[in-house]
Amino acid sequence: MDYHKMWQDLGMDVETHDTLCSVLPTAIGDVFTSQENRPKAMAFWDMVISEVHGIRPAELVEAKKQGRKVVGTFCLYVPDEIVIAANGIVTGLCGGSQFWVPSGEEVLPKNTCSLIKASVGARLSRTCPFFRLADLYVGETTCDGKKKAYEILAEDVPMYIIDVPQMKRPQDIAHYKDEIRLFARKIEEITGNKITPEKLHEAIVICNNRRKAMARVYEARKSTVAPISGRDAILMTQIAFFDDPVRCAEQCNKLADELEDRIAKGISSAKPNDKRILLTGTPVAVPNWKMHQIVETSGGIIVCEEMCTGSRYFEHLVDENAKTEDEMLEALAQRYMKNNCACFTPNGGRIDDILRYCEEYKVDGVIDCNLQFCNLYDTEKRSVSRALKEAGIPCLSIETDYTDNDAEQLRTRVGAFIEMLDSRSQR
Amino acid sequence: MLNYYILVENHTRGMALHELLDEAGLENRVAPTPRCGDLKVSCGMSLLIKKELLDAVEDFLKDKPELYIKIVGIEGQLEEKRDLFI
Repeated sequence: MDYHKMWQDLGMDVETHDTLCSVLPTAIGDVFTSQENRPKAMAFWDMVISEVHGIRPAELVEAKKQGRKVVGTFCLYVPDEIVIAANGIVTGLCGGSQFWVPSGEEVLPKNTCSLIKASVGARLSRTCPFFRLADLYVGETTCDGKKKAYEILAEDVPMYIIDVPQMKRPQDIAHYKDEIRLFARKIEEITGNKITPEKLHEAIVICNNRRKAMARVYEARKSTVAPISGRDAILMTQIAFFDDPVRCAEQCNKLADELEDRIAKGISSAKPNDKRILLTGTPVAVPNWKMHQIVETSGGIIVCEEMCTGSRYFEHLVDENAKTEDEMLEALAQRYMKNNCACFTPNGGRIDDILRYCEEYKVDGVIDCNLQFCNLYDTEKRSVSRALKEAGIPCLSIETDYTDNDAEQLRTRVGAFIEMLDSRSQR
Repeated sequence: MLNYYILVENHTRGMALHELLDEAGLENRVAPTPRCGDLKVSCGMSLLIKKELLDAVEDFLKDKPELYIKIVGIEGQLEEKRDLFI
């Protein structure tokens, strides 16, 4: 289907956007279609990513015609439940493509991470329909680069900021709960819809169901059968940020059913000697598949992502027993503050998570990868590698960006790491 | 190596055809439509089939012209170590 009319109506720079459309199929083909023996249920995500700027934006256009509002977010600490309870639609806005970085660099310092530069660039270059469709952008205070970037975006688009605390003391959680309450009032104002306890409960159940479905897929990844590649799993997670949450849960459950069947039948997406890798560090926004592709074409398989585009998305459910709005806001605050983002200090919970995942997912080694200039995750590399060393788990620390300039160097480093894991397993 | 893509009008028809081919035992995969030549006017998704199934698929589709636009063979679309990161 030709979406050019829709893109024009959205005020996009269609000519420049066509340049992105011309290279995207090659990247998708290389990363996903080139794989053999994939789960059949991945057909859904193959369809979505093949028309990533078409199908879902068209749905959002129709929803907006019905009076619904689209809220764009950049972080897991913005609770989807609030938007859904007001009959709004959430869409992720994190940029994962080098294509948008130069436009971001026109207004941001070059020594800003690629994710932030791409996110700003996607808006200012008018080459992403999701950035055009969002009626309100919701930022948060999880890193200094994003905070300043939001000030620039606010010159161009309505912006609301949630003040996420940087510690997890009781008073911090209470503050975050207040922030969620203020966010709810803002969303009511934007949508014109009252968030009732009934609607909020319904939204909590919807989001919990999505978490449960995604958790089932990750549970299957714990099997040594390795029924799904890391590339396919990360695509599922990335699309979850954009998709309708009910449909997302349905598709994830369908995939999980198939993965459980593949485990029972011993059908694997990995080669027999592939090393099981845990990836941690800066989140990988769509279409950032760089490390997954390099690892999985170098003798490894990524079995878990300890990141926002990974385990943090679905771990921990919101308590569904709360009755009043205040109780539900408390339940939301408690759940979201269990996420161990590097913006917190101290952040020992993240180390605990990584060590736990190493055991649960039976990993051979960890790759700790941050984007250049992502100082939070870069700084935590020290404590991550120290903890892993003490636990006897090999760890490779990597810094990269969205370009393909360092692909060969990364292949050499990852290849050597996997060789080391291989020789270690033969001792 | 040539890859064979079934081009479709839109994703709804594409996914319907995907299911039909599966039911007929004709292996096919949902794939992004390569952007080359006049293919850029078609849907973003297409169906990839193996060369050895080409005759069987064409035979299956001969009385179903409404389900697809055409089948094209395109060279060198899938390289897992191309390292083109967009």
